[in-house]
Amino acid sequence: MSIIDWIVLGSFLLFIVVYGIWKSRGSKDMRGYFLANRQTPWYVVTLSIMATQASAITFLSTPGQAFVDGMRFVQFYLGLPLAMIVLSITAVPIYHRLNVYTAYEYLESRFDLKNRILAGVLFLIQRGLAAGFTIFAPALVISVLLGWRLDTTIIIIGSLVVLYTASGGTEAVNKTHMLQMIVIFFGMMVAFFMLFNLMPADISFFDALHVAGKMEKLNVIDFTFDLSNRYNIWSGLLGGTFLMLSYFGTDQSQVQRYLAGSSIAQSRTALLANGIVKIPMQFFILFLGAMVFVFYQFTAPPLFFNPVSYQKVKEGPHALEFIEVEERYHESHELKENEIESLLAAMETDDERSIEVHSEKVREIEANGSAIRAEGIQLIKKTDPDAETNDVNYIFLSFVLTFLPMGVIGLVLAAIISASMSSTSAELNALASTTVIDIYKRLIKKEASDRHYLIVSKLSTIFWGIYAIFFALFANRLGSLIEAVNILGSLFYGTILGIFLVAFYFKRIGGTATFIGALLAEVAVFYCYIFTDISFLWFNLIGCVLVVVLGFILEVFLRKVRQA
Amino acid sequence: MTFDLFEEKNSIMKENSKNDDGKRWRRRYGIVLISLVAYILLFYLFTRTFQ
Repeated sequence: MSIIDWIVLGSFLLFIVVYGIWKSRGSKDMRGYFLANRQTPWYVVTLSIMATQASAITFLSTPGQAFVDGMRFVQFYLGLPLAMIVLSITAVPIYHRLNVYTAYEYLESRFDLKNRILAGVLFLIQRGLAAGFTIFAPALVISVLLGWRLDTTIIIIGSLVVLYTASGGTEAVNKTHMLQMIVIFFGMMVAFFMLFNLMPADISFFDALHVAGKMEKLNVIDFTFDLSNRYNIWSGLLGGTFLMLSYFGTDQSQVQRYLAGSSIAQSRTALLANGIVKIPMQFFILFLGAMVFVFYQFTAPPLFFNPVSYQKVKEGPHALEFIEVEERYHESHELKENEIESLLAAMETDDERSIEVHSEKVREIEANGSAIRAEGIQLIKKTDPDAETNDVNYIFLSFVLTFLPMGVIGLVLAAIISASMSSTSAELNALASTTVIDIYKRLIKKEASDRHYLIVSKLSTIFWGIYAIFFALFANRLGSLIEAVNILGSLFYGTILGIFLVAFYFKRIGGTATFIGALLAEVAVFYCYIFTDISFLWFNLIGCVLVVVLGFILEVFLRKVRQA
Repeated sequence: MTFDLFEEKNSIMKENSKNDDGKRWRRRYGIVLISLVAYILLFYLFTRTFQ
């Protein structure tokens, strides 16, 4: 990285911290610290919601996803607008009128204390670990590609976030989110225009689109109904709505964002705006990845984008075999490049038959190249059995670092680190509010001064920050961490959603029935996890449905017992 | 319970369906739904055009 990149990156990070602290100075009570005095306008809330959801790994991995699998991932977000409408009608007015600080506080109004504590504790376990991962994942990619020390990267990113989040609370989080989203958008736009600048002079924008399309990277919509196909319009509209409802309706890191809105109308507008803007944003990031793919049709890509694994295999016992595979890979790439040129020439003359023949040939060579690449990855695995064989997260940043000019590299890195900081700050802010409002103030010290609670809130943010950094530092030694965190999340998410679903829509089911139902559902989910082969994604649905069904049955039973 | 939450929710719904504010919000929900349909249509055309 050049000195200019360092200046761009360093000055931006410093500015974010100073801006966050300065803009939120004067937070003197909990209402100011956790709700930003309920004075946030809708556009700030919208940007904050978007910044919370978009972690660094979104910006690192989404373009890579399009590079490998095309743009069909965008369908995952189609349920978002529907979820935003449902939440605007139900959750927003109820949370606002009850004047709650956390989503779990509402559960005490609706049911009783034990349901509130149960949902709060489940959230703390799940989100506490996720916060560590939010710092760890981008730090790993950045440290591998730039050769920085992983522990130093984690500590720097984590400490900067803790500094302004602990100091300014929700207001600092919301204000910095706005700035971070601007840098993210700007960084991505600059990367996009630079990418087109780097394409061969005779390749127009529409040529690039046609090449990506013929190679099945612009497959945005898929209407076929297939349960084994993860991304199609039906899974997006049905599963996506369900997932977004639970994330935006019950996860305090999101609820806290729109609770800061200055009125019901402002919070609703913020959610609806998010529902409209989010899909094009994801489309754009995926499109960027598809265009990086086109770029690498005219420039030879590395066989594997993770430089550490690449270097290891080249210095290991399988180096000669790997070099031979790499040569075949490059030969295949040259063949493909020539075939693409022929395809574009055929397109210019509008020769349907020739277009069909060359498209088929390009896809054939591409499949052959993928098979050669798989051989290379096998050698990487043989050299280091612990090596990660998925390099999706490295594709975009590797492109940025290799081909973009100085200054722009610093800007894109600032955008990616911004995304990491924005998600982490929202998580720490939510963990602190749940700890203080639902546990400390409710169970440990019910009566104290505002100043006391403010200090405890700041200490709580620092505690969760240190916890997240500590977890991120040791995450590398825990093996397949992504899966571990996803499994852990799925173990609890369904139950939390089930409790909220009963609270919102099943008037007849009371607190005790819901609480016992939730505990039994949790036991059932753990049973499925330990004793069955059911994929962890299903735990969300199982937990949620069980809470509702068991709650209903138990309520009938408890009523009969009471009557007897 | 501080007040009947379901009554509260129902009253919000009723309020919304009767007054001008409710009409305004229904129009906004309609805009979001139309945007979703428009996105799906555009994505479909995009996929078909560059297939």
